Amino acid sequence: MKRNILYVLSLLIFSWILLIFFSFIIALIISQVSELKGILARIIDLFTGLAIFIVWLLIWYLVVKKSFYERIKKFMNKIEFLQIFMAY
Amino acid sequence: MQYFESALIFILFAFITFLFQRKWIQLMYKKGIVGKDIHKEGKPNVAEMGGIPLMVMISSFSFILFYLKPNYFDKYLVIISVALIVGIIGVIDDIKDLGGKLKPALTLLASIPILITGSFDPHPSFPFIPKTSLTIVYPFLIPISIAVTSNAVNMLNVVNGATPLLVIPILISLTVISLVSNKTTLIPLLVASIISLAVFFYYNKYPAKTFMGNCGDFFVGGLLGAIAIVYSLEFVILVSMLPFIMHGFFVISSVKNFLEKKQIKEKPVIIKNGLLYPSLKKESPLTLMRICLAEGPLKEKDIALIFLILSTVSSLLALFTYFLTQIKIL
Repeated sequence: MKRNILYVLSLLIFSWILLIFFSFIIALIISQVSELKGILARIIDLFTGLAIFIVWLLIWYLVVKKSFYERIKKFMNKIEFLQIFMAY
Repeated sequence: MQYFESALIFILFAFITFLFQRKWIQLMYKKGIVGKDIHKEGKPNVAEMGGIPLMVMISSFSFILFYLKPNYFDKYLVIISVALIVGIIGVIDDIKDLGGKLKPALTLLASIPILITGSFDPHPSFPFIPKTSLTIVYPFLIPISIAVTSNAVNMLNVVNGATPLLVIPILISLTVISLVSNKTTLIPLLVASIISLAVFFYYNKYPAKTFMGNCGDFFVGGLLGAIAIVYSLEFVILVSMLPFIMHGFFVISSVKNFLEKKQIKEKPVIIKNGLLYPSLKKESPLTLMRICLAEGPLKEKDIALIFLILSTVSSLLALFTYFLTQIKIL
């Protein structure tokens, strides 16, 4: 049971680190952009939330859906293979 | 004296909730409103719609507080209206199956009280960004947030005691955050919700005597979503609900559609000799429970314990995240 708990906990903490890391990156970008003047700065200021949402969705899609999810699937298959192997 | 009175009120509240829950379960058995507990050998019948007493008690408590101090508890009316709308959608779904697409679509409507009263601040906090400007997008995200939270709670109610064990740690962390962030008006509602869920857990723990039903799950999810928006705790609640989000994400991306639990033909787990095993079929959806079982078979109550640990960790992370949202970099 310990291994089961550690496995799902590592997934949870990994997701949290992803969230915080990308928030930090976005915060860095925003802090740089806010130094800009003109219409671009205004648009970004007005749509900060939208920008965060889109960037986060994009990262989520690329990192999690495309790669991380595939890794979980591979891991699951490996476990399934082990279970079948053990059954024999 | 004030604390003593409050404690007395909450003890009375717990006692009434306990009696109401017990009578309700008896009534459900008497009327034959029961469902099958699929994770047990022999699939015994269990009383359905056990979330109704929870809905009634939390709503009544909030309405009474609003009636007594309308200026102090003004936000309660909006929060409970949202939770009740999603709860009623859940009741309809319990009686007549609404399907996997109509149900989430209907929950979008629950955000109307927030939108009409304007009970939101379109400047949510993110870690290292204490204030963002989301004036245009925010109102459009409100209906989605309510639909996501209510359906997420409903999706992860897969074993006995899952919802109370997953939600109580979140509510406790929110109580701590309310104390440190001076949002004290939220505390009575949170304490009442914790008590109601603890009473419900007494009857829902393994082996369950009652199920929450969609009504209760939707109500609790709607409540969390509404609190997040009305009290500007969006990111904190997002982090505390990570187990729900992970589960929802795994299911939707593996099934590649919005399907009801009943519509999924291949079950993610199988039962053998009282133990739960992950399904070996590739068509089975990837769920949080299936991932919990990846390292070996477990008993149903062990899964509930893992859910509790996950929720406790995510709630602690939410608490830490709250402090990160107060930090501004550069």
